Amino acid sequence: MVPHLVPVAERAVLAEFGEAATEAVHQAVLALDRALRDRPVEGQLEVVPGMVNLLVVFDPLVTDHGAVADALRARMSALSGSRGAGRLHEIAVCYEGAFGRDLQAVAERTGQDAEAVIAAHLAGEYRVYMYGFAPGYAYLSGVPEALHLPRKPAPVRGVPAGSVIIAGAQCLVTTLTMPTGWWVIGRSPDRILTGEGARPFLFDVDDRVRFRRIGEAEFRSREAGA
Amino acid sequence: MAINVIKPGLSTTVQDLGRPGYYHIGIPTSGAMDMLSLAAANLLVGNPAGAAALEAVFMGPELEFTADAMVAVTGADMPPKVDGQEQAGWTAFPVKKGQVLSFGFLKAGARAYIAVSGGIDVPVVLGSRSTYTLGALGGFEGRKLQAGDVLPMAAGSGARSSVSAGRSVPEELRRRPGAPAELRMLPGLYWHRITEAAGERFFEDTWKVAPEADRIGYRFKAGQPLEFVDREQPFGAGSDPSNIVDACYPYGSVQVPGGTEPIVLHRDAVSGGGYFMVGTVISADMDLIGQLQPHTPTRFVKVTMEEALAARRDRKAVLEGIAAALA
Repeated sequence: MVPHLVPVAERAVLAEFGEAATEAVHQAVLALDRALRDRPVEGQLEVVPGMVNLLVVFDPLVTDHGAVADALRARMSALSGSRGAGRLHEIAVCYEGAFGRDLQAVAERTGQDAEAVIAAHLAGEYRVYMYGFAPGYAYLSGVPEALHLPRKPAPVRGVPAGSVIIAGAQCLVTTLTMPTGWWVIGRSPDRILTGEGARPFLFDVDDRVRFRRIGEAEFRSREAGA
Repeated sequence: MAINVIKPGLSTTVQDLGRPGYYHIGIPTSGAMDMLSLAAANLLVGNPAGAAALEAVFMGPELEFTADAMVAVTGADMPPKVDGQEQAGWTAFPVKKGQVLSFGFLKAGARAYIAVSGGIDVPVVLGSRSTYTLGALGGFEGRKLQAGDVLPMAAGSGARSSVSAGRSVPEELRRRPGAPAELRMLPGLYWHRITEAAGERFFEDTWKVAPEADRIGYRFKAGQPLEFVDREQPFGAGSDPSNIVDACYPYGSVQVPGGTEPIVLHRDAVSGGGYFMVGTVISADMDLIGQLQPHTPTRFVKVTMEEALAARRDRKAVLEGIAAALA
């Protein structure tokens, strides 16, 4: 798969593999990401994989767009294969009360009741697509189509850490109290951000995730034990 | 060898040149919003340009020194005082053991940089002493200063014989935002998704810095909403035309949620998301954003890649000029 290289800043290029978030496109993004981590290009400062594209930030006083583009094309022609399936994680989620503050709004906008929204969310098979936005924000793909909604028009501030949020085909368990324009449907007592030196995050990109429903009592006891 | 924090100011954090290299796991670079001013303050007191210093927003702290030090304050025009006696900005001055450094009211700009000879000696986290408050990472306990904090000064600090008081950065090398402030921008990846008329208005409008302006990003209001070209949204992007398939945001990228108020992502940027981006503010002008107060009139100025690269070289020349003037 040949990416389209777009100069998005005088210090950055975006390698675009496609517009639609498909499995093949994402595998190509991850393959180039691995290649650049194994063998960085001259002047490379940051490599950030997205769903359909990969951002490369570099020092424009050390190198330039032409040299970076040539180096990226060379890496692409010598890419390694897929890494294979990731591990499976089970994440607890409580949908009750204030934890699922947007549950009702999601139900109304998707034309079903709140229980059907929960059932659909639990039925989803999720995969870790990318880390982004903030420390430990692992983007999960695989939200069932019956729950697909656009983001809110503007972000809402102060959404608590642990919130289980959805937008489009994506789901995420937040790790910090942050603004979000996604829909808040529940909260998890599980810590994605473990803080352990070598493995600061619970998930690796490509891992799989299933959600398990818990009540408020179990949420409180798990949170106290966490 | 320490600084006692008597009053913390509004939001004072330890910052250096930041921690690039962790953006892919969502950890932003952080570091001084106005890196040129940080570098100037450090060079004035004989530190390396990237030593850890204090960034004070809108209101300065009150600090008691337990050892002699050389100090310099750059960036915002917020007059420093030693035991009540006013000192010049952009100029090195000594603070003796037991003396108190305080600040007058902000006259211009937004962020003052306070460098102390030897630097602020907080632990290095992921290669940097910068504070990332949202992630509670780096700096002094991962947060802004509080009254009662004791900031360690690096060993070997104290007024250096090689640095003399009174030396200053030449006036012509002090960069400040104009009125209106002008931020040069490279039109971006998704520029084709707004109409031509909307694109012209974006650069013609005078925007104003919104109250929601912090280290994560600066929001601008008072311009006209963007009009989008009709199109079919790709799978995964949602139906709102200001939404995209989640992508990585470079620092300085200008996202426009709902097509109404542009947000320029800054040093504590979120690394990715699904809002449409119209372009990227060039790196040479990111320092200026750090000096904008809420309500400051601001215009975005369209530049080419060649102009952006030339501006980057000019900024480097300014820094070299400051270093040469203080050598």
